[in-house]
Amino acid sequence: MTTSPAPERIRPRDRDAVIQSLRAGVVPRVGQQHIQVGRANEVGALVADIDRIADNGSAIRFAIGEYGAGKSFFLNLVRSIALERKLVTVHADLSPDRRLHATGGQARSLYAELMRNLSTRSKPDGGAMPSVVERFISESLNVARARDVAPEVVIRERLAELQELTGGYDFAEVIAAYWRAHDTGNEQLKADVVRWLRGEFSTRTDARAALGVRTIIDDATFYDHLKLFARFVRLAGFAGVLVCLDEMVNLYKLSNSKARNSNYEQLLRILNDCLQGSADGLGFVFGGTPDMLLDTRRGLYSYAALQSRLAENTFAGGGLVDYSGPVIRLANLSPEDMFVLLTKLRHVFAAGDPDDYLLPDEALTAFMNHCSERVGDAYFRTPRTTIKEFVNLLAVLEQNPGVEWSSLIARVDITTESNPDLTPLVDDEPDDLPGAVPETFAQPPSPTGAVPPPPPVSPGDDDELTNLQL
Amino acid sequence: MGFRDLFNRERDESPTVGTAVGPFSKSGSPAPVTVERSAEGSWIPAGGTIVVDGRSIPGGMVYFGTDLHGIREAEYAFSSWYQPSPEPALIDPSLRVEWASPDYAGTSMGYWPSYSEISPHSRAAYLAWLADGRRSPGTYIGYVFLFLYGLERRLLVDLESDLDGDEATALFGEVERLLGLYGDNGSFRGYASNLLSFATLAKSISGELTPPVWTEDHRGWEMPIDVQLGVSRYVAAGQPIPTDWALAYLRFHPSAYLNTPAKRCQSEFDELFRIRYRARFGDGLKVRAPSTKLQFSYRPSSASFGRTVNVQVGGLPDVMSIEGPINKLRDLATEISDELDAYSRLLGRRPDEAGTPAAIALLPDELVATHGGELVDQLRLWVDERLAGQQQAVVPLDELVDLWSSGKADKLAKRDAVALASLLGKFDIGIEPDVRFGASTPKPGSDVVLFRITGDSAVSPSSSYTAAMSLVHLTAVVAAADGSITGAEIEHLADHANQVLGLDESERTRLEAHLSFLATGKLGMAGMKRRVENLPATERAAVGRFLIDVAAADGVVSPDEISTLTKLFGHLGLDETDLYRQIHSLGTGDPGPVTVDPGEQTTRWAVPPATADEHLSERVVLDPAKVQARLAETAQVAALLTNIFADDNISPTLPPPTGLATRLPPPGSPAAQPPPDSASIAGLDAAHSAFAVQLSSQTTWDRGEAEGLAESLGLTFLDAAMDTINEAAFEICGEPLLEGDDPVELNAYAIEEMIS
Repeated sequence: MTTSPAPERIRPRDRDAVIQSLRAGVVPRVGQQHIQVGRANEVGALVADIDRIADNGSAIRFAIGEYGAGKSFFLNLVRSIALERKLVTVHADLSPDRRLHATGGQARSLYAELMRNLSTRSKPDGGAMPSVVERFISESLNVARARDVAPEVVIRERLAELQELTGGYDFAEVIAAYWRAHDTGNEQLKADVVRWLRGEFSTRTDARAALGVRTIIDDATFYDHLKLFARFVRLAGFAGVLVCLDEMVNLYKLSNSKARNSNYEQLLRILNDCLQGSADGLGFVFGGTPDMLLDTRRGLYSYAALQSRLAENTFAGGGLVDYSGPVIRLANLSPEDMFVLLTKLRHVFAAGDPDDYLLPDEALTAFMNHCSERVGDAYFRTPRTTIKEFVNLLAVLEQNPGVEWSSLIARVDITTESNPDLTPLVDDEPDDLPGAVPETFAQPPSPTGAVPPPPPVSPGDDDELTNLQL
Repeated sequence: MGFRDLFNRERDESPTVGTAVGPFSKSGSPAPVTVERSAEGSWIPAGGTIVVDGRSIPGGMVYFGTDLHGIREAEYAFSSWYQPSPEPALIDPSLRVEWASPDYAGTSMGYWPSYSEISPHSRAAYLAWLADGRRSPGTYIGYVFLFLYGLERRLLVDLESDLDGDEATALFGEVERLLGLYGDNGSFRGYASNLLSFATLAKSISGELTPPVWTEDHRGWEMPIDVQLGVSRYVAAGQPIPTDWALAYLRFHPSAYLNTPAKRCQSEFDELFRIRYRARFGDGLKVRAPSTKLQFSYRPSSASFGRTVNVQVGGLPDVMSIEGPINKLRDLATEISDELDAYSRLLGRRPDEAGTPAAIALLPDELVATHGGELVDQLRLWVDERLAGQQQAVVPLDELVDLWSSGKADKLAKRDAVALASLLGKFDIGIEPDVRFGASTPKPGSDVVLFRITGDSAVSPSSSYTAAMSLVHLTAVVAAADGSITGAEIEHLADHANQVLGLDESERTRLEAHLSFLATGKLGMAGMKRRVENLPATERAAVGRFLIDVAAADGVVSPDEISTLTKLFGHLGLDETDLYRQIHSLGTGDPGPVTVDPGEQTTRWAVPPATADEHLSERVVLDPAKVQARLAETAQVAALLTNIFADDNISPTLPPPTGLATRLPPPGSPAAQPPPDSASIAGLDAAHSAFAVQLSSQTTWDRGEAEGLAESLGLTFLDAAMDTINEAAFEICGEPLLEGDDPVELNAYAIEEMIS
């Protein structure tokens, strides 16, 4: 049972990133390809999706797996692939404060989080918004130079096609403002542009004062702006946008059915656009648990229109598989998967050189046995801790050459993880109160952008407020 | 030879039952003559006329004369001092008769009257009655008795050897006639009946006997003579007692103590008795002859005899002297009564329901053919027609109800449903749903399933059947969740029921019919909770697992099925999260190399044993084949990813690297507007190429310096320029050239790769 992965060079940067992430118990941002085990079909399906997005198409996938099945890892791998294929990616975890649909600023909050995590291949760790904007303006400047016209003219010309879309006009204004800011050395204006693009303005008044535009990115225009942005990145020379949204269980856990259904409705809108191809160069990957999908009372299946679109292909089954449906099912790891994963980790740790392997194969099974004795099946079903301890083990061996591995394995302490999804449902109500909005906002959010700033909320208005926000 | 001698005579030959050989000889019977005048103590035969005191009295059948003693007196005649009294029935013409004032009311008559002792007034009344043809109603009974005394003496003394002769027959006829006229008098009826039984006895002993049929107006504690005789003949011969004799023996036996059903439902009881008697005793009950002999006692009414006459009959054994036979028959009778009890009670409560299907359904199976009547025939015919040789058939309930209630009711009450099921069961037809098996009463307009019962037809469910039915119902609900149950699904379920649930043949048949029924209509969840609660807790998880397998049998767990499963899991008290997990794991499957025989994959749904924590204490055992498969797949995905993340593959879309470095402008030289054809690297335009080359002169740059350099090359935005360069770098070597924002660092490896 010896394993001899093809000698592949692993960059020290990737190696360190992978090891550090795993030791911290988080999914690596880069280098996932080195530790991917199996799932060739699933990865292949997503690669095809990404190519379609790059080809100005659209795609949507729901990666469904149980706790520990590797949803987040899968999403990150997909994101890395997308970056390699010259897509821009945005990603965020859904949470009670970050939803697809809301009236209390939670959708805008999600947009802001996505845009903060905007990544390109050269900036894979987020914060790539200025790069993207500047790429666009640079291109425009080149054209302007060649045609000897004012850059702003070219910028407006190139953005003309966006104006047909919701919010397109103000978007063009804001991009033009960036050039103006650069041209005049107005760093404040530049920062305001980036803040606007990230959806960090919470009131129109502020936006108007800062940028002279009438609209902001808010809960109601969350998705329209995503579509707009997808068009924009193509103008800037990128292939498209891939949106990765993890922890969909947070939508499922919304106890208020009206709020939940509004989110599902938004999801349906996205799903329809993607399946019909009307979202150009835009793709979505969601991560969620089986109950989130299958529960016919609160899950996606509770929403009839989603149900019919997400239900499995009736011709698949009986050994036939269909990876073209929107739902990708991720199986939990098996002991064999775990074994292969450990060989991969060993390989990464040795920077790809089999001569530097710190452990023989039998040590891997010995390690698995040890874990199995400690926590039972959990060691491969919820592998985070197992992986973490294994990497720690390798680290100790590396720093203490000559230590016998068998003695170290016996000392590995491992405990069972608990599934955070099993914690009680969050109560929906307090999150909708203005005071409970996360601190990440630069300014206190107002409940809605469509009405004038509301009068101070008196207790008697609670009902109306609640209704509005849900 | 006296009367008693005759009966006491031992037979010298075994009796032949049913033949005409009897103890009575027919020889020596005197021919009846008409006597016209008084003679000494002679019998005047019927039709003779006597003359008393100048008046002639027709009719005969009396003793007439002056010198005839009573029987007992004759026996004691040896005593010389004894003055014998005359025969009470003797009409002595020498005695005075007061014709003028007859005592019709019999006011002067004593208890044991004698012609010689009654008053002349009474004599006148007696003779008048005789002359009148012995028929005057309301006659004082003493006169009738007086006449009967004569008949007794003639029959039991004179004709004792010829009791089945013509004269005796005629005399018995006369007794019967009188019984008809004066039977109202209890005393007379008793004596006359007893006398008549001698006639029967006479015939019985010699002739053929038929068992008498018991009727409710039979009174008295005495077993009729003919029954005793009939039974004892068989006992004496060592032969089994035939059915009808046994029945009569039981019926008339004073200590049979028959219950109400035996009386209220006599016909049913008797029929069932016959069937059961044959079943239990074959040819009949065999009784060992007791030593006690059969003996009849007769107490004559006439004082002439003076005492009871005991008669032993030809050495026949006395079947009343033993308890054995009646005990056995009584046990049988009790059983039969019990079986008829429900039927009898129904008739007791609702006498008008006799013959209705509800009543028939309560009859024991054996009686349905004989007592079922037309309805059963119709029902049977109809069922046969519907089944048409098939194992089962779906029929509309309404038709059945119509037939059942003769159009009187349009739905089935629960009581009726039970009755219908048991009636059908009597000719081995089952019905589903069957209330007796825990189903609810079928609704009007629905369909039911008739089926042929194979094997023993139980009438209540076994615990495993209840469990199986619950399971089948649940699975049917699941299978039907996505529309309807298909034939294939039914087959699967039936198959499973047969193999896994441990049912016997009849239960399997019933379960299949139940399935067919489930397939006919919309399946409710009504009553499901109650049923599921009957399942042991340990089995519920297994049931849940099984239900999911059923839902997934067609390859897909549809949302409707999930919805149903969710409900059922709730009923089963199982965790919903488990449900989703299991469905999910079905969906992921295992793409490993384990080749499964497709034939085995399809229909075996054994309820899986609990697998919880199986691995906990076991050592990890890796399946080498699976590991190899996983490695192969991993290699596949690695190849895919390597293509994407390639650091040494040059994308074919890129222009091939040209010898650029040689034509680079010297570092630091201003090149605000580089000529379009100036040297470029890695497909970058001139400005970016120059920027990259100039940057590569240092390993780190302060951001401000880098911006200045970019400006000088006409690159407005540092970020954009860096992005463009990095993109090119990725294409060439898979790594960025420039890293970090402030300071900007250069990747030595990338420099080497790009500018070489």
